[in-house]
Amino acid sequence: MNPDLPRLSDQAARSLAGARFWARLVGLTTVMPCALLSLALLLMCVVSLARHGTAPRLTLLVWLAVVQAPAMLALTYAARLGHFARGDRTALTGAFRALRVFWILTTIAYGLVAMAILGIFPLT
Amino acid sequence: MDLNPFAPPRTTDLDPPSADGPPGEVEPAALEALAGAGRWALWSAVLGAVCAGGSLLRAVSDGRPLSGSMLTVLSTLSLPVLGLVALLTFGFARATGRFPLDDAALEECARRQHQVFAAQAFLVFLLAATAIAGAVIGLMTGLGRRP
Repeated sequence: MNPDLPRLSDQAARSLAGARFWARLVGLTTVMPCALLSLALLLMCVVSLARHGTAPRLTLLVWLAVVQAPAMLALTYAARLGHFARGDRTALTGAFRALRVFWILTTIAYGLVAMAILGIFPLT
Repeated sequence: MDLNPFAPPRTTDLDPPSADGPPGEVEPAALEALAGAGRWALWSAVLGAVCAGGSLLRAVSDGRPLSGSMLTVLSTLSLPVLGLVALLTFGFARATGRFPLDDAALEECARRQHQVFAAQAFLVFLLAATAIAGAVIGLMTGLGRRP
């Protein structure tokens, strides 16, 4: 046992369990509609290309990917916290790594939204 | 190993995580990843605040908060929630920035993570409600215009 390393208290474990629940909810409520919309949009592109030879604007697909990517990382974070709660102690490192990538992708998404608000990036 | 797919869940699966005792040492790699997450969360909080402020300014300049439709109320309501998410994210980033991370700081980080994800869930709910309301209103006005 290394006395320099911090230990996870019961309260912290309970907070992480709460974070896991909300992260899973955020992930599921974002990924499922985005995946369905992406599929519908891709089908529209295929049909449009087959009939008219021109694809509709794909900006919405880019936005769906931008929203969906952090949501999938939120699901990964929740899943790894679940492994940790079931006793796999190494899963906490994986969960925090997923959390880091989640914040990187969220920052990119917010950056694109800010650019869209300023009129630099197309919203639709 | 439980091979019966119809077996009821074991009671140990239903226990809160504190019951089977995850409290233990946190690996240095995990602390490093948490600190990295905090650094990016800080940028995310700044950009989230910019988005909330920019959207609010645009809404005020367009005069949208003055009208009282359900869609407007929902989209206007999501702005302060976005601001709240940014504020909580900033709190999480500040909690992870404390070095060296001791037990109390780690507890604070976990609490902040819980708060941030709960607020994000509320934001997602509001945005989904806005999108659904927009789709329903668009559909109804489209049907109303059809001869």
